[in-house]
Amino acid sequence: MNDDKSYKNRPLSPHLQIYKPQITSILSISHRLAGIFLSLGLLAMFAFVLLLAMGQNYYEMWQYFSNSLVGELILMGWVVALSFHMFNGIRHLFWDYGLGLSLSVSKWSGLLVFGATIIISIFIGIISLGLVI
Amino acid sequence: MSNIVRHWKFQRYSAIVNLILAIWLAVSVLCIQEYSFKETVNWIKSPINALFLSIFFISSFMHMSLGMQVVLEDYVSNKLLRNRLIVIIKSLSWFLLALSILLILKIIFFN
Repeated sequence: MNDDKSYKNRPLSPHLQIYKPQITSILSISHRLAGIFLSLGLLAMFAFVLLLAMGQNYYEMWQYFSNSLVGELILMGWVVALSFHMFNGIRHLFWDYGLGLSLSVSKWSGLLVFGATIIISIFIGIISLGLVI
Repeated sequence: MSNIVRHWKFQRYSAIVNLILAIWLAVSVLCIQEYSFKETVNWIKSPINALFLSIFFISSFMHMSLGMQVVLEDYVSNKLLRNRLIVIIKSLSWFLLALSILLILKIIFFN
């Protein structure tokens, strides 16, 4: 199947600029962009464990990064991206079971994902600023 | 099972594992107070944390390499370049995954 010529030359859907932006298409491309951004987050997690294993002096480099303004903004970016990718991923899992595929449901489930992402990001942001706990 | 079906299934298995472990990770990370060197090392030294963190790395590197493969297949039209990039990402994932497990073991036994 893999070596089949028809698979290798499978058609692609027209690229983004062909379509008028809609909530469904924006969430779809954002899911991919968030995924790519989260790949960098995974590399950062690896770097975190690496620096921790190398000892206290190296771990301080991580602390320097995570306490800086740029570091905090990037970390918060990963929080937002992970929340979104997770909620939208749940939406995808429902689709895989054939649930919620109609246009109307995929529109409101998209809005639900958007709302949940904002709420959980603000919640985590407030907690990590130390305002609650 | 063809490669394409396996790809599809593993993308979803790893998604579900990540979903559970991301919630665990978020709660754990928010519960650590100071992030001093000692506190963080002690966190990883707890067996359940070390186990979950290792599973998180396995599942995440798998999910990442499967996802990046689809992105490359869709947006890189030069086939030679595309296949090379896919091989690089897969090799890098395996390498970093193996290294991250070794690093966790190093922290548990030698820190």
